[in-house]
Amino acid sequence: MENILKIEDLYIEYKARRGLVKAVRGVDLDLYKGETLAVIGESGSGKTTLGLSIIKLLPSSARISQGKIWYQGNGKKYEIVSLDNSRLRKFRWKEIAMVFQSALNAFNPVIKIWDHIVDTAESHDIKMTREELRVKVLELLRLVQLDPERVLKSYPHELSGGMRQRVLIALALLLDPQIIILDEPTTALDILSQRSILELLKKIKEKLNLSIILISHDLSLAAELADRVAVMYAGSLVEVGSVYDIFYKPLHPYTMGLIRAVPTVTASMRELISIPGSPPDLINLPEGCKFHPRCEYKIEECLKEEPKLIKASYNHYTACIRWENIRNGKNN
Amino acid sequence: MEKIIELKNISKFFTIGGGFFTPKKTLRVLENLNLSIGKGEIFCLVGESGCGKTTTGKLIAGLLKPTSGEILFYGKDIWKMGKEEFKTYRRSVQIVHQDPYSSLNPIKTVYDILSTPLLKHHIVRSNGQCEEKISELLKIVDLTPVEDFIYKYPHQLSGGQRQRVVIARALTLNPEFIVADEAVSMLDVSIRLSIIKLLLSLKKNFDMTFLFITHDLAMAKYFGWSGKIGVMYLGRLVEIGPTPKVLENPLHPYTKALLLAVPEADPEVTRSKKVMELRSLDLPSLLNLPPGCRFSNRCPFMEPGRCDKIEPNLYELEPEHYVACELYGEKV
Amino acid sequence: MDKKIRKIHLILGSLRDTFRLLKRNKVGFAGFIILIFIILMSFIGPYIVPFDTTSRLDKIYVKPSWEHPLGTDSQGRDILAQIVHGGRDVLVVAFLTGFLSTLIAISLGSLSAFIGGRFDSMITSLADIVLTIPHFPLLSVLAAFVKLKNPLMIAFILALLSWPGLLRAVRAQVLSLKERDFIEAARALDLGTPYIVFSEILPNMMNYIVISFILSMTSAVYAQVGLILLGLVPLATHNWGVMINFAWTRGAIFYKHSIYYILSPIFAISLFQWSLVSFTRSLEEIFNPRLGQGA
Ligand SMILES: Nc1ncnc2c1ncn2[C@@H]1O[C@H](COP(=O)(O)OP(=O)(O)OP(=O)(O)O)[C@@H](O)[C@H]1O
Ligand SMILES: Nc1ncnc2c1ncn2[C@@H]1O[C@H](COP(=O)(O)OP(=O)(O)OP(=O)(O)O)[C@@H](O)[C@H]1O
Ligand code: SF4
Ligand code: SF4
Ligand SMILES: [Mg+2]
Ligand SMILES: [Mg+2]
Repeated sequence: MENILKIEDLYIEYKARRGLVKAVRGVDLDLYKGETLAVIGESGSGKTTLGLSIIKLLPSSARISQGKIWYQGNGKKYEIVSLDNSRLRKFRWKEIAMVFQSALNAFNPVIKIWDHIVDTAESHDIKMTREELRVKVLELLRLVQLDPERVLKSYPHELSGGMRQRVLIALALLLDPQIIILDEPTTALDILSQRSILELLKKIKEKLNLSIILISHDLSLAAELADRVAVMYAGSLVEVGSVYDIFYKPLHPYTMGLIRAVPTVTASMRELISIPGSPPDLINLPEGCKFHPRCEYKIEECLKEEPKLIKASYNHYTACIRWENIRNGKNN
Repeated sequence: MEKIIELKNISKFFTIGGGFFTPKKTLRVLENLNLSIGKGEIFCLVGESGCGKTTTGKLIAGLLKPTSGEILFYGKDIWKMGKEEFKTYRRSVQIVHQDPYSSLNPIKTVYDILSTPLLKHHIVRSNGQCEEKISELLKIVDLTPVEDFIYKYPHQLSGGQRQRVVIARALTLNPEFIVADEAVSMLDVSIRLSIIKLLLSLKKNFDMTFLFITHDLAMAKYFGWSGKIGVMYLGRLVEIGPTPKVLENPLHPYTKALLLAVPEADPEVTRSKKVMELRSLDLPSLLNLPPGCRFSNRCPFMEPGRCDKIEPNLYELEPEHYVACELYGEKV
Repeated sequence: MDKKIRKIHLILGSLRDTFRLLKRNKVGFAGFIILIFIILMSFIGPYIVPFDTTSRLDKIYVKPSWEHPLGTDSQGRDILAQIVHGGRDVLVVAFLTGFLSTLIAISLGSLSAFIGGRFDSMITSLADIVLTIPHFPLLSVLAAFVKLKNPLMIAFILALLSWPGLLRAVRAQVLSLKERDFIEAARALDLGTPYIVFSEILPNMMNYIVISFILSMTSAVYAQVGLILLGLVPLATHNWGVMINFAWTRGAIFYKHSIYYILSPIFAISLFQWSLVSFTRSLEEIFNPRLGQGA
């Protein structure tokens, strides 16, 4: 399979009052052309930070202390971490676009959608005449199943959350990017609007042959849309694999725990088991495996060194030294 | 089962606007709500944002007064009670809110938070007794060892721990009824289940009655399997019944649409769903409700001339299983 | 017993934290030190530095020297001694005015927001009326009827005029705090309106209240000096305002040696004001991290 994005040993930290927040630690991840990759993890596990680093749009308190991000698509090749601002401008939105977390509520309430689009286009350095922009926007709004004439004339509050999210998705597609990063695209939405966004994403992915990175804390979104899933815990990836491997044959105790703790509606009722404890403080991380304080498989060795992702089977990686025991269902 | 709470023809309207330039408008947030909850029962209220779940919860907790209708507590209308009797009633119904960050006063320690109601209402007679009672409460909500938590401020606790303090506070006055308003939806997946299990243990050990408000159908199923579920749409209950019956054999088109739309944390289950096509994605505004059935502008089974003319009646199709839809009209 | 010791430790610890936060903002800490100095000077100073009120014609307007560090005034009396003795009244009036107007603003503002309805609209219209009254003309009219020589009286009248601004702010804050879930929980626990207002809501506004209190002290100082300069307050006692008035009316502008006479009280007042305003910066440091996420 062809790699469109390759993240290599990425480390990102934030300067905070209490100390350094190690938000991303040693992440290695590939994105294949045309696939949907879901990055799942709990609040604060570093998902957004990882997503922002891919378009190099981290806040000023963040620093990429190590690592590389290779992009290869459209016949071009870039290393994103080392791109300077003028080259970034040619790259962002044109190659990779992002729909930000909670952008849904960030619309300026007193300007109409069309003016919002113009402002965004300008702030993104998008060089298009008004007429070109208008033609493109009309086409995209139709693609996301909105009535363009009505929407462009509306104020944000006149649109439902689902409609606003569609506008944002349309905006991200403005310059025909190869990759689109969606950060919690449906978290604030109702079930019915959420469904319509999911169906829309499936459709535009097919139609535009996009590669998608889907960031979410919601396992069901990954189950619905993803080809592959990367599970993040305390800033690093603990398991990466196909969506079926992750849900049906998890090889990391954390992934297993998550799946056992999440109820379903239509499947038959089963007993759920909760994960004890809570995620660690990213400023004072525990020694060794970061999951050990909550892990039922922990042995002494787990405290010595942080496990790296190990290849367990074709396309299935886990950062647990006891994955074989887990696969065999043995804990002793 | 003895009925602890009954809502009879409850309506709640809010007036908004009424300034110099904005005309007064009436928001019909709840209309003609009828439901009853038995002692020790779990009643789940599900529905999308803005449909009136929180308003129902506040009405039941005596924090809001209905525009019309009666709320009966063991058969007695709470708004016809004397002052003291009403206060006693209100103390026996407690709320657990959604946001563990805003539901604890940031400047008070766990000790202050729990001791105030205990001392104020003479649940305990002395400081010594008070400390004993507090440790007992903290043990119930699993915040042990107690000494590690009792003098902490909310900001020194994690989201899940705060929610446990909130639950302990709700238990101080030995209530009979708890309104849990999205009590776990802001918590992380790995924490959520442990709080749900804590609430279930209260039902088991103290015969606690719950109104469990949520937009998460899977959580409602898990928590309320033994109880009842009420599905709300735009201020009306469209379907009520025992949880297994409603979820396994949904009758109302809206309930069906929800169950088909909800993505689930199981790739095979979620991908095999056949989503119901709605006639419109727009949720009507409370200020501009469609005539007749409130779902009629979106419902695929809409019968013109009937659904958009008359308010659907409530039909009991199975014992205890009610649905407000005219599709079932002829059968009765 | 063990619990008591723990509580003491907690209190000591939080005192230490408070001091650390106080020191964090350098300007604020400087303000704090100077404020303490001015307070000590004005209240203890008079017992240490004597003030000889007899006129010494041989010593009119002498330049600063070891004997008279700030020189002497038009009657040959020591200026430094006057500064030391003239602070107390200014400080007392400022403090009392700040205290009274904050007290009025907080109690009426929070009750008005919490009770709402008719009471609320009554209080807010009252505040609007007081806000629109021009203060100095009113005071001059008042001065004709009441003798404004007692500092307490002055403070009382200034306070009666200065609460509305803060009241509106307090009311707005309480209205927003009232919506927080912990207030609803307190209502469900039937903890009572007075408890909710004074124990749950107000302490959350402490930072705001203390800072407004200090700022209203600064405006009280100006109002007071203004009254003295306009001659609306009898010049019976000695204070910084009276000194400015004397220096002004007794020829400071005509006689260049009198520069120390007029500048000294102006400087004292400015320093006091500056120290108050800077101190609020440290106060923000103290209150904010604790109310925020606890750094
Ligand atoms: N600007 C910032 N300054 C300091 N720390 C930050 C900043 N932004 C994020 N962090 C910290 O970095 C860590 C990772 O944050 P990030 O937003 O990437 O998490 P996330 O997985 O996206 O979480 P969520 O699900 O809540 O969106 C968190 O501990 C967070 O507190
Ligand atoms: N005090 C109020 N004044 C005016 N309108 C109100 C008031 N409280 C609630 N509403 C309106 O009533 C409707 C129902 O609100 P409610 O909070 O009960 O919904 P909900 O089902 O709990 O929604 P969510 O899932 O978003 O919490 C909403 O449209 C809301 O805007
Ligand atoms: S490495 Fe050890 S502690 Fe970490 S997840 Fe595996 S078994 Fe658990
Ligand atoms: S009454 Fe008619 S419109 Fe309403 S849910 Fe039933 S079929 Fe649909
Ligand atoms: Mg995020
Ligand atoms: Mg609600």
